[in-house]
Amino acid sequence: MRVAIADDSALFREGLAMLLTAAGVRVIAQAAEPDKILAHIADEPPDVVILDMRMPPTFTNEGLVTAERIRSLHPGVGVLVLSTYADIRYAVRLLGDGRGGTGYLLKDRVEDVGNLLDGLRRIAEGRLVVDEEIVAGLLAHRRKAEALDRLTERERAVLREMAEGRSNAGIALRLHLAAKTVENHVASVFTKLEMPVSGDDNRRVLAVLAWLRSSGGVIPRLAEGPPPS
Amino acid sequence: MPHPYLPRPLTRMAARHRSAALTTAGVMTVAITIAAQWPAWSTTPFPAALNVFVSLTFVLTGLLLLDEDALDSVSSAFVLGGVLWTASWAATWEAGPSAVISSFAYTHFWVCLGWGVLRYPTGRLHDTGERVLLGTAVAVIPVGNLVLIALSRPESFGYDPGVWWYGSAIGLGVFDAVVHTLDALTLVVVVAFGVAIARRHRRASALERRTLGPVALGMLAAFTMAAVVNLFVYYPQGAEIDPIFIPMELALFAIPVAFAVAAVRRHLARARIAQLLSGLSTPPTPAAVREVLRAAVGDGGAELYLWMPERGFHVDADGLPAVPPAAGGTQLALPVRTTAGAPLAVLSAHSSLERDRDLVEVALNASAIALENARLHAMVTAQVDAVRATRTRLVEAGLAERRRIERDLHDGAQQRLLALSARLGLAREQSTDQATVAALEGAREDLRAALAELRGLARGIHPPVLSESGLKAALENVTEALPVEVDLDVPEDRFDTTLETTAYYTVSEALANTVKHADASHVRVTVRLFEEQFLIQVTDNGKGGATISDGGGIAGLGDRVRALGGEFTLSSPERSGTRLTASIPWSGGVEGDG
Repeated sequence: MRVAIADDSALFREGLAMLLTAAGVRVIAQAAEPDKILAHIADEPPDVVILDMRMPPTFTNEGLVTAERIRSLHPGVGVLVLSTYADIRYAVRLLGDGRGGTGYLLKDRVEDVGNLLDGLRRIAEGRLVVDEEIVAGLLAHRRKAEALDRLTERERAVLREMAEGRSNAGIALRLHLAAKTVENHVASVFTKLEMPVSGDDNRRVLAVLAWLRSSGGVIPRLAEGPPPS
Repeated sequence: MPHPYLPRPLTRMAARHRSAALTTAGVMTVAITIAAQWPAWSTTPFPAALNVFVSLTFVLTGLLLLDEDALDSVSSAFVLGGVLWTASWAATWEAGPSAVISSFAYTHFWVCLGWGVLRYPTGRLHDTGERVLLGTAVAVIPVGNLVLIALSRPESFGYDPGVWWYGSAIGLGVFDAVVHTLDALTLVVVVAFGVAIARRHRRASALERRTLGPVALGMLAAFTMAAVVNLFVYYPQGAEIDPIFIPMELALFAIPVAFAVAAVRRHLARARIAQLLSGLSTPPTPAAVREVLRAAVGDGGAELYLWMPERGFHVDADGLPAVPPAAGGTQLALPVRTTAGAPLAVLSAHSSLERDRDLVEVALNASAIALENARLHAMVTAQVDAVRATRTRLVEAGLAERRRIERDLHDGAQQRLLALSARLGLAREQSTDQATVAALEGAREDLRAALAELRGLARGIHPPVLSESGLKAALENVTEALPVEVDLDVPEDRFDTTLETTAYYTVSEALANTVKHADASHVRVTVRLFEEQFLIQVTDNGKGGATISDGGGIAGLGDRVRALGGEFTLSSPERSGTRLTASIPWSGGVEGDG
């Protein structure tokens, strides 16, 4: 796996590069600002670009803007945006086209190398990755409480994993369940929450997130994007 | 000194029922004067008619001057003078005590007149010289007259021998000597009066001169005439009025007329200005007072400069610092003073107004109160604006400081700890020793907690999403994870940073309180920008009974809202929910999307 890292904090960038290198990932480019990393990607596209959310010049949402540019210029390159804060709107905007190959994680996740690598791998495979903090926040929301109460504890766990962007196989692995059991739980969740079943994993993530963000039940139609590359 | 004051109740009544008093007094004066010189009408009607006019104008002017400040004694002198002038012509009857009454009244008339004019316009005699002069005049003229009567018979003065007379004749030589002495003394007194009046005139202000000028001329003419007449004819006598009295009557006639004209002009000017001033808004603006003054003095280009004692310079009617042009050339610089005599303003007007200086001064004095109010209002407004601006700046500086601290935390401590987190992760991956792994696990746990705490702290100091995406997005972030149903009725617009931040903290704090204490299931958050008011309202359906505790978060928000000139209210009756309302005056409108 080859990654490029863009972060204006040299300390964090170096630490992350070191960690990934030790885990067998090739860090092929590093930069402190968006334009430089774009140049590197143009020279040699990595599998995944890791972008800091707040970078020069405005230190607001450069990571997101750069991610969108990379998605349009280099559709084959996966993008992982790391952010100090969990912002649901940024996450949804980033994953919004439903094409997959994008992820939104808190910077804190670097402490768990396994988890980070798992995320990178899933992004490289064209899947969506959503930080557990965002999903937990959505699940905690009172207005969904009634609908969520209809789920069993196991079903809620499955829902959370779906929202974080895991496939049925991934969920089975994480929750130590048989694949068949996961499928049953997923079907049951969709029925109980009156959600239309989606065959496409990435669309499923967005549908679940949309359901969690809405006041329950009403799913905004998603724009049909091109199929994942 | 005897004071010919009119009795108080009489003057008060006359002032209260002005027109009735004027009419009554006028009619009575005319009637009595006609009667007093009845025999003269068939022989010399012209001077007789002039006498009626002299008495009438004296009495009416006296009554008109009643409510002029400090003119009490002058107006008494005029009224009494009119009465005495009428009585002077009783001699035409040539019967009974008419001759004695007539000469007594005639001599007193002159003293009374001198007394009244000397007391004009302050109502007081100025110095010992004037007091001596008046004393001498009384001794020489009325007292001398009484002595002369005592030393003579009526025919000595050309009266009919049949009239009542208390004196008896003495030697002709002695009598002549006394008469000449008194005539000479009378001349001296008249000259002294002339000097006193001239001195007065020199010292008088422009306004007083306009009144005093004609009066002084008339006085001098009349006095001189009286002194000269005195050399040939002692007193009014006989049924025919001597033509020598006609110029004297005309001169006398001019005196009250001069007073009356000045008084009427001032009255009209005051009435006009009062009418203009009463139409002013409250509190009056300097510009409005300027317009009134322009209309009052008839100079559309007149400029007003208010003196600002606090700031040490003048401002023009628009409140901008300005230097009043110096007097000279075609410009007058007229000072206006407060009731306490402190400098208040300068009116710069065309120098042709010098001719109407008295009216201009009346106008300025009349507008002083309005100007003082305008100035006070302007000063208070300026102070309030300054205080409000300072407070707003303080709030803004505080908010900017919070943004800076959040960025410093994010770019500094948070990145450092995150880098440390990566290193610890790496160390844990690479270590094989069980004890080391356990120690590193512990360290990671601590670091995870520290990072979470720091994130919460930084977000509390200033949520980055607020500056990035605006109020609605930031509030959505807050409400996403709340265990309570929140309706966000918030516009997508971007507002001024101060407003956004204030609204954000207000709503967050209110929501936190609701979650902690209210036991509510539903909250409604409304943010609106009306014409000039930014309104924030948070309403829950909880148990109510919330109070603002000193030093609590809600109290701090109230202070911040009030520092921006806004209002902050908390209404929380028991068992019927809580409503928090903050309204901040704002004229900026919404910001462009940025």
